[in-house]
Amino acid sequence: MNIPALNVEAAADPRSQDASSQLVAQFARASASLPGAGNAQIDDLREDAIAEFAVAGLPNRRVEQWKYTDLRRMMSEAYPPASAKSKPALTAAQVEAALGEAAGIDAVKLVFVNGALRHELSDVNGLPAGVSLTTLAEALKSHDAWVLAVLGRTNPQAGETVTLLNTAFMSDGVVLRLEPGAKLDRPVHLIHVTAGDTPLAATLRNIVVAGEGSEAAFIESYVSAGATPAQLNVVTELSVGPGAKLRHYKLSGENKRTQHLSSAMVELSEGADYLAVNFADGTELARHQTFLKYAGKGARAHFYGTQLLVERQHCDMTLIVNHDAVGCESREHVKAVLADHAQGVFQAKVIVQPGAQQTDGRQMAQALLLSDNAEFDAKPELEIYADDVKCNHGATSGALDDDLMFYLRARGIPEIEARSLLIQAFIGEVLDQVEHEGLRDALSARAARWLA
Amino acid sequence: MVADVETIERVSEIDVDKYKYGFTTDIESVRAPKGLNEDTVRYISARKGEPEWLLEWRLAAYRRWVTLTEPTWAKVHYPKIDFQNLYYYSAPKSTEGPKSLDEVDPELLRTYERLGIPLREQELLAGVQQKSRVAVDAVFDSVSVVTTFKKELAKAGVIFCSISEAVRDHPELVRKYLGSVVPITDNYYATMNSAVYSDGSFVYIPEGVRCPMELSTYFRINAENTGQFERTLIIADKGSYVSYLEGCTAPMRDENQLHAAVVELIALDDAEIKYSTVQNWYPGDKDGKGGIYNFVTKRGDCRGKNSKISWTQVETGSAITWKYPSCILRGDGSRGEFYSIAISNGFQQVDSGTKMIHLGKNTSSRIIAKGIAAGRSDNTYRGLVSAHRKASGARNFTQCDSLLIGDKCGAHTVPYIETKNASAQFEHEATTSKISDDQMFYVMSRGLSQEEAVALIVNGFVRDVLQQLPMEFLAETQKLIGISLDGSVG
Repeated sequence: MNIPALNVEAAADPRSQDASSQLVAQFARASASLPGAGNAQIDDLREDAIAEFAVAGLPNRRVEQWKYTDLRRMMSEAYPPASAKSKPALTAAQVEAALGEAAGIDAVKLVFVNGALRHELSDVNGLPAGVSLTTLAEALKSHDAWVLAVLGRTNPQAGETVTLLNTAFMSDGVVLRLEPGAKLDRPVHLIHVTAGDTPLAATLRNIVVAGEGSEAAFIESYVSAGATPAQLNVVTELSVGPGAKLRHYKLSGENKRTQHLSSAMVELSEGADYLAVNFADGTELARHQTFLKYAGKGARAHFYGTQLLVERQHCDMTLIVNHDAVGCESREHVKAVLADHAQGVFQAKVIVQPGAQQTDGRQMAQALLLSDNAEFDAKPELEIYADDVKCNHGATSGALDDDLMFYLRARGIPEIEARSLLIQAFIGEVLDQVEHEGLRDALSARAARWLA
Repeated sequence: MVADVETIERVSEIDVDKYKYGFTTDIESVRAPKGLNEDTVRYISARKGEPEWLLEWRLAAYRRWVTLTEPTWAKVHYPKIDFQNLYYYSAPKSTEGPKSLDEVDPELLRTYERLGIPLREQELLAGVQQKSRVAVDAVFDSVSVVTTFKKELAKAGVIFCSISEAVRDHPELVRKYLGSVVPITDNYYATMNSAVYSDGSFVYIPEGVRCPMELSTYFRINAENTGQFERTLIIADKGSYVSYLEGCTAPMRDENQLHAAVVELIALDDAEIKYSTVQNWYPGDKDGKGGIYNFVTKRGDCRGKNSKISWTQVETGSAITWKYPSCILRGDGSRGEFYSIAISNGFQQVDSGTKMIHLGKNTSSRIIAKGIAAGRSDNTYRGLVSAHRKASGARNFTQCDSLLIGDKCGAHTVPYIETKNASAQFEHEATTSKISDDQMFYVMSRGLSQEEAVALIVNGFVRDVLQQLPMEFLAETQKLIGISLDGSVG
C-alpha cells in the first residue's frame, strides 16, 4: 500500500499524532480484519481511499466547505474502531430506553450496536415481495456482485474527505433493495446505539436502491446508551429510480460526547420523489452532508432540517444540490434553535448546470438565538448557468419576537410556556413535513422534552 | 419611461464591441523601470519627493507583499499575472512642474474633453445647461493632472487634492489616517497597492461642514503594460457630509491591464460619506481579448457614533472585477449601505459584493445588489454580514437579485451570514430569474420591440439602486445599462 504524506511508523503512538495520522495508522492495523478483506476490488477501494485521505488529512477552516466546522481542530483525536469481539451486553429494553419517543414506531428494525448488527435485537420479518434487505458486512464478506457493482456509485464526490474515510473503514450498514414497483408498507428503521465504557469509532455504509415506481421510507436513528464518547461516520447512498418515492428520516440524538459525520449521497432519476427530514439534538459535533444530484427530468427533492442545540454543541448541515436535468424542483429548509454557546451552521450550494432549464429551487435558513453566546452561520449559495430558472434563497436570524411574546403573556401564559410555544411553532414547520405519523409524533414529543 | 426609450436609441447607435472610450492618447510619458522590487518602490517615492516615513511604510508593505500569494477563492479565471512584466509608474511628461490648467498638455485636456469630463471651471459655469457643479480630480495613469474648484472648496475648509499634494501639505492628516482602514497587511492587492500606489484623491471635510459640491475623481489608464494603483483617502470629521463620485475608463488594448486601487473612508461621529462609482473600464472585445483586471479594495470605517457610509456602484466595465466595498460599523448607531448594479456581458467575469461588519451597538446595514449576466459572462455576488458578540441590536437587510439573459452565462450568489448576538436581526433574500415570458408579452403587447422591452424590464429591475445615484450619474448609468446589454436579447 502506498501512503504518500503521513508516516505510519511515526504514528504508532496514537497520542503523539493528530487525528489524521491516527486514522491512517488505524487503517494499517485494521485493514486485514475489515469485512471483505482479501477481495481485490474491496481492498483497492479502501486503500485508494485512505491514500487519498492521507494526502489531504482532515479539513480545517481554510477549506471553504469547512469554513464553519474546523474538523482538524474539533476532532483532535481519532478513537479506535469498535472491536467486533467486545460486544457490550444490551437488552431490547435498553435500546428502547435509548431511543426514547422513537421506540414505538412500527417498522422493520435493524439494530446496530457500536457499528455491528445485532440479530437478537433486530426484527426483519414481514418484508413484502420484491424487497430484499441485507447488511453491508454480509454483502462484503460474500463478495455480493450486485452490491459491489453499486457500492460508491451513487452521486460520488471525488476527494471528499468524510466519504473517503468512510470507504476506508466501512464495516456494516443496511443494504435495502426495492425491485421495480415494490412497495414497503412499514418503514425500514436503522437503529444505531453506542454503548460500553471506552471511546470508540463506528463506520456505517448504507445502500438504498429504489427501483422504478417503488415506494419506501427509511429511518435512521442514532442514539447512545450511556455516556461513552463515540465517533460515527455514516454514508448513505440512495438511488431513487424513475418515478420512485423515497422518504428518508434521520434522528441524531446521541450523547454530547459523540461526534457524528454523515453524508447522504442521493441520485434522482426521472420523476423521482425524495423527501428528507433531519432532526438533530444530540452530539457535541455533527456534520450532516447531503449531496443531491438530479439525473432525470421532473424529479423533486425536499430537505428539511432542524437543530436544537445547547451548551457547546455544534451542528452543521451542508448540502450540495446539483441540478443536471430539466424541470426539477429542490427545497432546502433548515431551522435552528440555539441556546448557551451552541453553534448552528447551514450551508447549501444549489448548482444549476447549463441546460437544466425550468429548475425551481428554494432555500431557507432560519435561526432562533436564545443566548448572546450562541452563533449561527449561514451560507446559502446559488451557482446558476441556465436562464429559465426560478431560484431563490433566504436567511433570517434573530431572537424570539417580543411582540409575539407579549401577545401570549397578555393572555396569561407564563413566560417559559410562551417561549416553548413559540419555539414549537418555529420548528413545527419542519416537523410537519414528516409524513410518517408515528415518527412525526415521536419527534414532536422529543422536541417538547428538549424545550421543557 | 422616456429615459428607457432613450436608452434603447443609444443602444442601437453603439455596437457592443465598440467601447466608446477606447481611444488612446498619444503623449510622452515617464515610466519607472519594468518590474516590482524595492528599487521600484524607492523610485516612485523619490519621484514624488515623499518623506522618509512614507517610504518606510511603502517598503514595509513591499516586504509583506513578497511573502503573500495571490488569492484564488474568487469565482474568476485568468492566466497568471506576471507582476514583473508590468510598469508600476507612468506619468505624462508634461505634468512635471507647477500645475495650472494652462500649463497642462493640451493633448491631455482634449482627452478629458472627449471623455466628457469638464476640467475648466469657467466653461462649466458658462454652460447652457446649468447643472449642479462637480469638483473633479483627474488622474491620468499614475498622476493627478488637475483638481478643479480647489479654491472655492478651501473657503469651506474642505481639502480636496491629489494624495501626493496631501502628503506634502497635510502630512499629519495623511499619516494619521492612511492605512488605518485597509492596513498594509490586508490582502495581496491592497498590500501591493500600499507599496507602489502612485496617486489618487484626498478629501478632508472639517467638523460640521457640509461639502458645498459633489467631489469627483476621474481615473484614466492610458499607457501600455502599465498598472494603475491609486489610493483614495476620504475623512469626514464630526458632523460633516460629503458626496463623492468616481469614474474610470481605459483604452482598448489586446493585453489585459491591472488596476489595483485602495479606497479608505473614515466617518467620525455623526458624519456621512456617500461614495458612488460608475466603473466603465475597458471590458475586452467580443472574444474576451483584453480588458482591465479590476482588483480593488474599498472599505469604509464608521468610526464615530451615528456615522454613515453609503456605497453605490454601477459595474459595467472591466474584464474581471474583484471588488467588495465594505463597511466596518464600529461606532454605536452607525449605518452602512451598499447599492450595486453589476452588469456583465461578453466574456466578463464579475465577483463583487460587500461586507458589513457589525461591531457597535444598534448598528444597521442595508444591501441591495442586482446582478445582470448576459453573453458568456459570469456574475457573482459575494457578501458577508456579521454581527459580533457585542453588536446588540444589529440589523441587516440584504436583497440580492440576479437576472440571466441568455443560456450561456452564469449568475451566482455566495452570501455569508454570521450571527453571534441574539438581539441581532438579519434578513437575507435572493432571487435568480430570467425575464419571464409573461413580462415580455405584457410589455411587447403594448407596442414595444423586443430590445425595448428588455431594457425597460431591466431598468425596472435595477431601479432600487438607480435611485441612490447622484443626478450627474443617472443619465450616464442608464446609457451604460443599455450599451452593456446590447446584443444579448434571448
